[in-house]
Amino acid sequence: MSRAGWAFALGFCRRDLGEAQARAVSLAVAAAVALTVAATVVALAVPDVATEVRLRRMAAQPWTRCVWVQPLSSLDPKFTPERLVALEASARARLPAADPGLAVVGFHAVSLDVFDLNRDATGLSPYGRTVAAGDPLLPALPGLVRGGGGWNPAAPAGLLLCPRYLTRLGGDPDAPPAAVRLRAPASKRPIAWPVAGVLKEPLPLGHVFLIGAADYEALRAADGGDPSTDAESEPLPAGWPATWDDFPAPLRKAVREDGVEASVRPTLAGRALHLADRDRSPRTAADWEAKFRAVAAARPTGPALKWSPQGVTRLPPPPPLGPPEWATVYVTRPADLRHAAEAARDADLYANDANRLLVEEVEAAARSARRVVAALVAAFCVAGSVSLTLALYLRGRQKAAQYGMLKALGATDATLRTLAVTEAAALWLAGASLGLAGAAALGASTLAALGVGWDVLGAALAGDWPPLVAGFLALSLVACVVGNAVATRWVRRRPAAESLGLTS
Amino acid sequence: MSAFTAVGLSHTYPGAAVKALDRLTLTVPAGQVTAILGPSGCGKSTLLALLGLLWDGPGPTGRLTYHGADRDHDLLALDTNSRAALRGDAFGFVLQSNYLLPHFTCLQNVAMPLALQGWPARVREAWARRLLAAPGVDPHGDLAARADAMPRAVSLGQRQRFAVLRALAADPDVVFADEPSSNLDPRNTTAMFELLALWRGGDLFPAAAADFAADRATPAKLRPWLAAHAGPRRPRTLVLVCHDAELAERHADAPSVCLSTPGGGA
Repeated sequence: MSRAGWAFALGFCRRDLGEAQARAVSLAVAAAVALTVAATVVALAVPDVATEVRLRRMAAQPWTRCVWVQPLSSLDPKFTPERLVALEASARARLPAADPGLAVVGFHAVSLDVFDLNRDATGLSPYGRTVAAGDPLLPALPGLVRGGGGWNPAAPAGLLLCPRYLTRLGGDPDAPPAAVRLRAPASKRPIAWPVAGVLKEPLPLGHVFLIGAADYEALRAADGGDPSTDAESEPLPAGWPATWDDFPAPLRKAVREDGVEASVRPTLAGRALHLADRDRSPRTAADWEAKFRAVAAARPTGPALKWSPQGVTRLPPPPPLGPPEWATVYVTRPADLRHAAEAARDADLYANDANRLLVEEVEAAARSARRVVAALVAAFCVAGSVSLTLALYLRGRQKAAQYGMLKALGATDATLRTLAVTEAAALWLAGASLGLAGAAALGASTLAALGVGWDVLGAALAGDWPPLVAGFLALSLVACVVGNAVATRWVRRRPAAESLGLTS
Repeated sequence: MSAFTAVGLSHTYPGAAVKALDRLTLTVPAGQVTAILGPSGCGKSTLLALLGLLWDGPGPTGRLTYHGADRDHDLLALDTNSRAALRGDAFGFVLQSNYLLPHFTCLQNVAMPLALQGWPARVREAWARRLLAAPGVDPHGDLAARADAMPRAVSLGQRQRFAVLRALAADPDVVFADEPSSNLDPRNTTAMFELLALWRGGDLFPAAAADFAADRATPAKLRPWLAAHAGPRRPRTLVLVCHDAELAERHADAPSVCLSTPGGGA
C-alpha cells in the first residue's frame, strides 16, 4: 500500500470512527477491547503479584523467613558461639546474593510445669522457647502480641503465651492473667511468674510460650531456698509415741491439712519422725523446721524433740543451662531459605525447613495459577475475538453503502483493506488505552485495599508478566485487525452496484 | 467516435431466473449525452453498472468495450485494480441517492475522488473550492455558503449538486447519471443539468488546472495530471439513465438507448 493510501486511510478513519451511523458499534468494539485488555492484564498479573504479596508477608515476620536447625544427635556438640559463627559463614557463602539480614541465633527449648489457672492439679508440661538478645525475633514481637502487650524488647520480662494454650489453662486470651503459677525449674517449688502478653498466632515448632533468655535465667534462679520434699528428725526421745497414730489427734489433723504426711520410721539410731509433702513439692528448710516445732509444741510433756538439717533430703541443683541446642538461621528473602537449609545440612544439622516448603508451595501455587489464568485468558480471548469480529462485521454491513461509494470513486480493494486495518487498529488503540488505564486503576485500588505498595509490581515486571502482556496485546491487535479484515471482506468484495442499490 | 461498444451483452444476476440484459448491442458515442430509457426493471441500472464497472461479480457475457483516450478497454476482462483505476480516473457517478459520506463536510466529499488519488488535503480542498467558485457552477451562491457544513445540515437538492460536483471533481471522461433528478425540485434539477453541461463544455477545468500547475506549492506529482486537464478540449460523455422520455429528449444529443421488457432488448 502506498503512502498516499495510508494517508487517505488515516484521514478517513479519523472522522469515520465517530460517525453517527456506526458509533454504537464502534463504541462496543472499543469497549470490548478495553474490557478484554483490562481483565487480561489484571488476570495475568494476579499470580505474580499475589505470590509477591505472600512472600513479602513472610519476609515481614522473622519466624516465617527462617530455618530452625539442631544437631542430628543429642551427643553432638551444641551451638557454641563459635559454631553459630561458622554456620552463619556457611550460610552466607551459600546465598546467591549478599544478605545484610542474614543472622544465626541460638535458643533453648524449655519445658515448664504450669499450673492450671483454676485448679491445683497440673498435668501439663508444655514446651516453649527462649529468645536471646540480638535475635531478630525480639524487636518484632510487640507486633505479634495482642494489643502490643507489655512486652519490652529492650528488657523482656514475663511469658508470652499462645492463645490456645492459655485457653487450655482456663484463661481468656482477651483478658490474660497477670501471672501464672509454675514449678521453679530448680526447686520445683510453685512460684508465680508474670504474663507479658498473648501472641496473635501460634508459635512454630509446637512451642506454646516464649520467654526472654535473661528472664529464663532469672526464673531458674528465682528459688534460692534450701528445698526438699521431706525431712526427718533425730531419733525420738524416750516417752514419745511409737507410731504417728499415737500422736494427738488435733496435731495429726493440722499436719494433714497442711499437706504433709507424717510417719514414725525406724532408723539405725532409733525411731525418727518423718515428714513428707503429700504432692512431693519441695519446701524450704525453714518450713520444715516450723513443722517440727509445731509437733513438739503439741506434745509439751516429755523430752524435747530434736531435728537436724542433715535429715533433709536435698534435690540436686539444676544443671547449668549451657549452649543452646537450637539455632535459627534468618534470611531477608524467603526465596533464600532453601540455601540456608542446604548450608545447615552441609554442616550435618537437622533443618526444620517448614518455611522453605511454604515458599515452594507458594511458588507452586503461583505456577498453577499462571497456567489456569493463561487458559482462561486464552478462552476469553477466543470468545472476545469472535465477538469482536461479529461486531466489526456488523459495523462493516452498516457501512456497505459508504464502501460502495468509495469503490465507485476509484478506491481499490487494497485501499479499502487498508482502511479496515487502520480503523481496527485505531479502535484497538482506543480500547487498549482505556483498558490499560482501567487495569492500572483496578490494580491501584486493589493494592491500596490490600495495603501493598506499587513496588510489589516489580516482581511481576521482573517475571513472565511483561512478555505475556505484550504478547497478549500483540495478539489482540492482530485479532482486531484480522477480524476487521475478515469482517469487511464481505463488503469489500460486494459489487458496488449492489451496495449502491443499482441491482434492485 | 464512440465511448462504449456493446456486442451481445447479456447479464444474469447470481440466483436469478431471468436475464437482466439479453444480447444487448449498442454504441454510446463519445462527447455526447446518451440517454438510456425504459420502464422500471428493464435493466437500465444494470447496464449503467456494467458500463461504469460497478459490477465485479459473475454474470455478464458478450463484449463490452470502453474506447478510452489512449486505448480500448475490454471491460469484462479487466482485473480488479484496472477496474478501480478506470473508475477513479475516467468515470464519475451521480446516483439517485447522493451517498455523501456523513462524517465529512460537503467540500471534503467533493474532494473525495482526489483524496483517493493521493492529493494532499490542502491542495484537493483548494481545488474543490476553486471548482465551486468557477463561473456557472454555483449560480445561486448556496453551495459555496454551505461547503463547510456536514451533509445532514444541507438540503436534499444541495446534497445532490454536491454529489454532482464530486463526480466532476477529477474531470472524468464519462459521467454516469442514474435518475439524478428523481428527488429534486425543478430549480435544483436545472442547476444540476447546467453543471453537467458546464463540465461537458470543457470550460470548467482548463483555467483551474493551469492556475494550479503554475502554483509552486502544488506537489510535483500532480503536475502531469494538471497538464493533461489544462490542455485542449476532450470529449466528455454523459450517460443518462432515466425513465422520463421528455427529460431524455431535452438533454440527450445522441440517439437514446431504449430498453423494454425485463431482459432488456435494446
